[in-house]
Amino acid sequence: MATRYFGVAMKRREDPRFITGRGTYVDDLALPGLVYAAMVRSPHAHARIKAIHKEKALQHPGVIAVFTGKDMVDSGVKSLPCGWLLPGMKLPPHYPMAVDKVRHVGEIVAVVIAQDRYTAEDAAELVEVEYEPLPAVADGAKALQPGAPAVHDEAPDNVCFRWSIGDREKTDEAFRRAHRTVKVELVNQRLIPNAIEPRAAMAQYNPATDEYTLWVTSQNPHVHRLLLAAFVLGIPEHKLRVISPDVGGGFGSKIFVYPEETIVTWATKQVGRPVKWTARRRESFVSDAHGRDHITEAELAVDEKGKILGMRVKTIANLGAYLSTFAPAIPTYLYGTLLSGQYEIPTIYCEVTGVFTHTTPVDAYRGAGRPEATYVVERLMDVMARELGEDPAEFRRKNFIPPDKFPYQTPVALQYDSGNYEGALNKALEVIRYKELRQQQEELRKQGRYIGIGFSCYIEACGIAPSQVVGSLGAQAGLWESALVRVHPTGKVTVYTGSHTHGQGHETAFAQIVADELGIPIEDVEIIHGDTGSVPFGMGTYGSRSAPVGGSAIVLSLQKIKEKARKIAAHLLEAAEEDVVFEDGKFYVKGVPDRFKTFQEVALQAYLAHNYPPGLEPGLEASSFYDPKNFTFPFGTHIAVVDVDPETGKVKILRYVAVDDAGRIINPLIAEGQVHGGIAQGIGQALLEGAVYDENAQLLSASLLDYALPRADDLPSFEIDHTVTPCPHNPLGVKGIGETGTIAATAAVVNAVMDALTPFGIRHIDMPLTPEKIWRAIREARAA
Amino acid sequence: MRLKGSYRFQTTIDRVWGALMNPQVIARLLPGVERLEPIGNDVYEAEMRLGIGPISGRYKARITLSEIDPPNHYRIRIQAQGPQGTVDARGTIDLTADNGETVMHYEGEATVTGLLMSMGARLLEPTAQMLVNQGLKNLEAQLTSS
Repeated sequence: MATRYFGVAMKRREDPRFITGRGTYVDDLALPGLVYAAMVRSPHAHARIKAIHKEKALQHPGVIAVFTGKDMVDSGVKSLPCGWLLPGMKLPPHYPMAVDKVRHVGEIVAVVIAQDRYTAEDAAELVEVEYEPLPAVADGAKALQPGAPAVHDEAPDNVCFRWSIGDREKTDEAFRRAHRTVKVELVNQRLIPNAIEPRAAMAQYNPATDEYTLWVTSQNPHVHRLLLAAFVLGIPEHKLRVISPDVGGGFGSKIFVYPEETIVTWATKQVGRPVKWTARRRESFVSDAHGRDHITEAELAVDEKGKILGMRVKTIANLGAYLSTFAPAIPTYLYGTLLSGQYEIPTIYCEVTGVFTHTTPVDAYRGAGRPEATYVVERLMDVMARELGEDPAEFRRKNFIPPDKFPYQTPVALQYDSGNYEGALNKALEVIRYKELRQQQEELRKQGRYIGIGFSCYIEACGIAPSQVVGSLGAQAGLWESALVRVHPTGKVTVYTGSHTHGQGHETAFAQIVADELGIPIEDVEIIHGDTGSVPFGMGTYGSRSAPVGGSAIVLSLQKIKEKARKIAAHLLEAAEEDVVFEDGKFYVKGVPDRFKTFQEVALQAYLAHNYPPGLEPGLEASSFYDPKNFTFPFGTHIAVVDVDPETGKVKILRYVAVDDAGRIINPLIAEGQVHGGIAQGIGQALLEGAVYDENAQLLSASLLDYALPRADDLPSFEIDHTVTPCPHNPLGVKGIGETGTIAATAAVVNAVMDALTPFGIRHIDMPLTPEKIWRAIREARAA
Repeated sequence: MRLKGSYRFQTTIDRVWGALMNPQVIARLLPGVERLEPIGNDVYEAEMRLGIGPISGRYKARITLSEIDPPNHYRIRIQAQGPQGTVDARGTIDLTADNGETVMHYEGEATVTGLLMSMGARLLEPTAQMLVNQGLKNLEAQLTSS
């Protein structure tokens, strides 16, 4: 394959429409007769609903209808489903609107539908709800204490599941014979995703055809269609079309099936008008699924030589008030399985308790379980290195899985297919000029300046697969991907991908693959996604799966196209099929490149079928469903260099080096952008962000005034580099790069700050590392 | 949210007590009260306009007095509900005579929910304290001028 496009840092084809305001987002859409929904949300974290009075709202001019949870349930609407089940897991119902009780601030109790959005919002304030407030609990550990208020009758102790992985006895034994052990207690704080486009949904019911159309901010429109149709609303799947047009960021928060799209799809038939809802930012804070929220106790054991003997991890994972679509998978199979990191660890044991609390549900957020795992592993590595008095880079190097041991079976289920961890570490050390930096650190300390160097040698598992395995682990879906490639008579190509782009640049990256494979100009390729009406069933985009799984599905279809085209070309060239070569968009007989048929000529003949191989079907299109053989395993080393002001506690990031190995890179510009964004979010968690609930489970950090997202001036200029270890089991050799930054950055920054604070004897401070916390820790250390 | 403080009125305990038991005086003392009517023994219904910055709205409140021990002590509970959240406040008021003057100790705790809490948490306590101080000053001015 000639690579005119693959590997080229092309500017994204979709960007001109985005940056000139010509994108089409759900909120941009309008239909004749459109009416608007506003949600009435609970101000209480836990309360019994005694009565809901609709009258005043209904009397408000412009109001069309007011519905409650009871109205929906009475008409047959079912609970929102959970797409990942663990053995023995408690699965209390989650209705789109609360029926008898509210269980978190922001839970919907009624919907007001009105002529315009302002009327709907005004009238929502007129709905009178009588509540009987009940005691509430927001903290995962407190929810497990005896006497804590129960979120659901089905789980009186608030335990949703207890899950474990690894060999407990073998691990305990390793700790018994250890030369040295360390233990850390870590809080991986709750984060609130903030996609720049708030969630939105618009639904229309056509009584003539009995068909529904839902436009929704979804990362996976087919999953939305399947769950809404078959599980919640009872609409035949072929009578519901889900369209997810341009979507402004998701980070996982737009994977899930939420109450709001369910409500508008149900309500459009009730009122006989199309209905739209768009979240206000305030609503996003309490209703978008949150991320992380772990409390962990982790231990590491080493022998006399400093080689790791075992790891023991105990985690309380706060799931919120209800199980969001993939909630149970995140703190289990996407967390416990990653605890081996890049290291040879003979035995690991991890147990996780999933807990209900009176908070917004928690689910996948960029990295989803893997940043939490990396934080545990990389904090342990640093704490142990310091305990042993070893250099943190050398301690890691000593414990890396060596390149000749792949495929490597970890003690926590995953089998890594490839890796060269030392390669990435060496490159990162070289870029940062490690030795000089350590000397500089020493000298600066003498002057009262505290700089720190932090490592994060991470592993990621992308493109979760294969379907048979994930099914055996509790997934209620397969995790393959689809692609339909349609060649038109003029040789132009439309590709329908089951993955979905909401910032990842598929329209460019996928077109690069197609243009190269078919030897046609990239302008001749169109990438279509996000419409169940035109795209074959697909699983969508999350978990950095689009390139390895979605891209591979496209390649399979392109191979089928080329095979058929070769047959047609052989007929036109009056040659044997096996003698025909396809190169740079031309078919010719081996050794006679001057006599050729272009791809476009062959495409035309496929549709004319005038001069055509006997027995061959006309037309030129192919579809494929690609089920990967394994996850892909990107890895890398990130190094943060920070300067901590001991008088104010303020952290400044001086440098940030990222060396990632995501296999072959389709478009370096897009890949680099993904790494930048990921690091920014990881730094956000390390230094700034955190959801704060008060003792009554009221969310205090519920706006951008109180929730600190990173801004440009919080971030350094990133130094990005790559090593390339191709994925051995997919046709492109690609692995996935969308989450590496968030997975690595948090640990790198925290390790750097703790390294800076070593002279004060400070070992650990929980995130976010705000100036106040650091200042207090320094003050206490100085007093001691 | 907690409120606690004391105030010295330069007037007798009976005058202060009399004022504190008068619904119309209470209406002026509590922040944002637009209407206050007795609906039972020591139970009042009020309409209040509460606001912190951009978060303001009209609240329906029920005010209940209990443990009335003239002229020294009573307990007050204010339950308010509005579009932006709810307030459930409980407090005590204690009066002590001191040389013809009166010392008031007040103490209370409020549970606040909704937008009022999520957006206004940092401003709630200082705002409430300011309003209480203002109300008490107004009350004193009224008591000493008449």
